[in-house]
Amino acid sequence: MIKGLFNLFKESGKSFEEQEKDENVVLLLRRHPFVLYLPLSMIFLFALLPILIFLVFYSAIVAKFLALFLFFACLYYMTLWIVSFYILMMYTLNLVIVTNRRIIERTQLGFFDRQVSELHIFRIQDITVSTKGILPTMLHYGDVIVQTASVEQKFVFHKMPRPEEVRTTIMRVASMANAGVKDLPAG
Amino acid sequence: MPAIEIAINAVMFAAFVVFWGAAFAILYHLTRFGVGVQPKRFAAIFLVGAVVLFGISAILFANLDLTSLIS
Repeated sequence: MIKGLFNLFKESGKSFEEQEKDENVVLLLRRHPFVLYLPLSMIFLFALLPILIFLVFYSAIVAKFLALFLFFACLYYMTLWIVSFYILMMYTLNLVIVTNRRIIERTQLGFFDRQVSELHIFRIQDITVSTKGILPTMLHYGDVIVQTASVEQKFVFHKMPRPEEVRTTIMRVASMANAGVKDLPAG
Repeated sequence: MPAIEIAINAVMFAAFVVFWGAAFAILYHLTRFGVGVQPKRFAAIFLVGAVVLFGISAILFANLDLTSLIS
């Protein structure tokens, strides 16, 4: 039973809700981790605040308010814990799933507020990659713009890591789907 | 028990309820809607951290001498 519990955290075949029979996940894309660095470093700086206050007012705190200070510091860290994992939750739940049949974009806008858009792979006409700026060029991330055949709005996937590879893979999946090839090895 | 002490206890209880409410929402989203192994790992780390922080804060609150603080 314990072994089974830990199997949860091993790499496994990606499956998702609303997955159709014989539908395989080819790519699972999240934004570049760089988008996390700024908010998480801010949280780290905020986490240093109680330590700084303790060091500055050391004698007063130790003499009078040590228990109270530790308690409020703990409440403060509980708040930071919630905020930091809220940021991580938003990062992990905003994703693009490329399968051998369609592209699904899940956008989490907050607690209990999300949008799911999907695009059938045979509707793809053109894919554009846009990398603007020094950081995106150096860190290899950019926007992937998928143009469809109909009057539907185009799909834009922002800040995707290795956008050129994403474009190549989607085009390969699309051409295989159009050629009637059933499966593509997951990558 | 003086009224102010009861009020402080009630406020702390409410704060803990809010904390666990938010923790539940985060855990629910990560485990229910997460695709792949990364959200499950985040959920496990989050749960362990939340339990530890809650335990420490509950112990610290229990050790607080509210009567002397109020006076």
